[in-house]
Amino acid sequence: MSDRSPDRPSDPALIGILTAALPPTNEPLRTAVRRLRWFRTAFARFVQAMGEEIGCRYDLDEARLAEIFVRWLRAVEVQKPKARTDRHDYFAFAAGLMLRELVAAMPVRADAAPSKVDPNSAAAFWPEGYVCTLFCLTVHSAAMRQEFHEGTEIADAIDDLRQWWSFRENVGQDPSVSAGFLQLVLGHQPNWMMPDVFRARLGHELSPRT
Amino acid sequence: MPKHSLLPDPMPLRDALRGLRFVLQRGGETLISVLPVEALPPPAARVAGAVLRDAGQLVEGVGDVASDLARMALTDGGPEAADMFARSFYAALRAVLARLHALPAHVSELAARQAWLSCPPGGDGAAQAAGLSRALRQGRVLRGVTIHPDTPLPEPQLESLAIFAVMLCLQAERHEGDEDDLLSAATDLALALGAEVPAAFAADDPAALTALYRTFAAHV
Repeated sequence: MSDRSPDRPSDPALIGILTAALPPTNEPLRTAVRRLRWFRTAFARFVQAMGEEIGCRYDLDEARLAEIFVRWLRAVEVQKPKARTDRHDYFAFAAGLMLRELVAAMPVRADAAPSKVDPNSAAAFWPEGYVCTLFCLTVHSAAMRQEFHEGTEIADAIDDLRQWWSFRENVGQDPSVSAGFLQLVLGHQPNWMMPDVFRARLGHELSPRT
Repeated sequence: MPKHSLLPDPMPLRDALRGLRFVLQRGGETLISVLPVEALPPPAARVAGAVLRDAGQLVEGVGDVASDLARMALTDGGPEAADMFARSFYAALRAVLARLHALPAHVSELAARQAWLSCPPGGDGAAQAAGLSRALRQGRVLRGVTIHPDTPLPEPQLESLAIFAVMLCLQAERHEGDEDDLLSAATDLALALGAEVPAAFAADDPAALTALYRTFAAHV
């Protein structure tokens, strides 16, 4: 039995468990995630699975989730690059945009403090931000595996509570911080001036693709 | 419903009976506002009495919607297409209105058929849907709704949003067994667009409606 720890979001076993919560689809994930009926089912199941892992129940606002989905869809379309060489990088960027919309509108609310995690963990500190972040990471990870046959390594920064403090404190004033945070936990160096602008990403930020 | 020998077309009678049922459910308002403005077949007057005595149910289940939608394509032609569209649209619109907490409602299957017949074929699915949407609204396919505390919109916006949701659904790519989810997702997507949908209808702007369908039909 895997010795997974919901206290450590970088734990691959945790991501594996949460990936299983995503609904099956006959379509490529990059297509399914852009259909509301798959997206909202995936999010609802993920939230429930996360709640079971960390010991709390989330209330989900479906109407707000649909609005988030529309905003994300439009944001992804507006910045979609034309060059095929940018496609790989854009997958991670699109996940950051998703986190931006989720955190800005926050469609979930935990009904109580999580009971199964360390009180000093990220999950206990901010269960709503935590579940949104891990949802984006999980979908991104699954899509990358499917599309590019690549695993996704999550940086140690995600286990650092100080990063979460900074994230939560700053995102209230600047929603784009979410996009930067996701880039950070994926091991990239965001352009903190404009973390949600694809063209403004730093030259060395994302893995070079040939 | 068995075909009456004096009625070559049962749709006007169905519409009339549904109008009466709506009145009964709403609690006795004037009949004038909900009866079809088209000529009412004479037998309708005779059966109205029977309906008033015995409020029959003429509800089509969502399962019927599923099979109809599966067969339906927006750009289908043919002699049966208008009737098939009208039947599918009627059931789908009621399902959408249920999700919007706006039942009971009076939906005119006859107006849906007439809207279909009034729209010339041609153009892509989005352009067809936009033309049909306007025709449906102009034809008053929705002739009465019931507003509850949890109905998300006022009545004037509800009609355009509900029509939009059904038309979005008809253009969406379907997978086996997900028709119920398709309708609810189309409804939620329409709601999420906020004021854009009622504004496009109110402006009577086919380009704006076409653009919305073109953008979102693939994302239901």
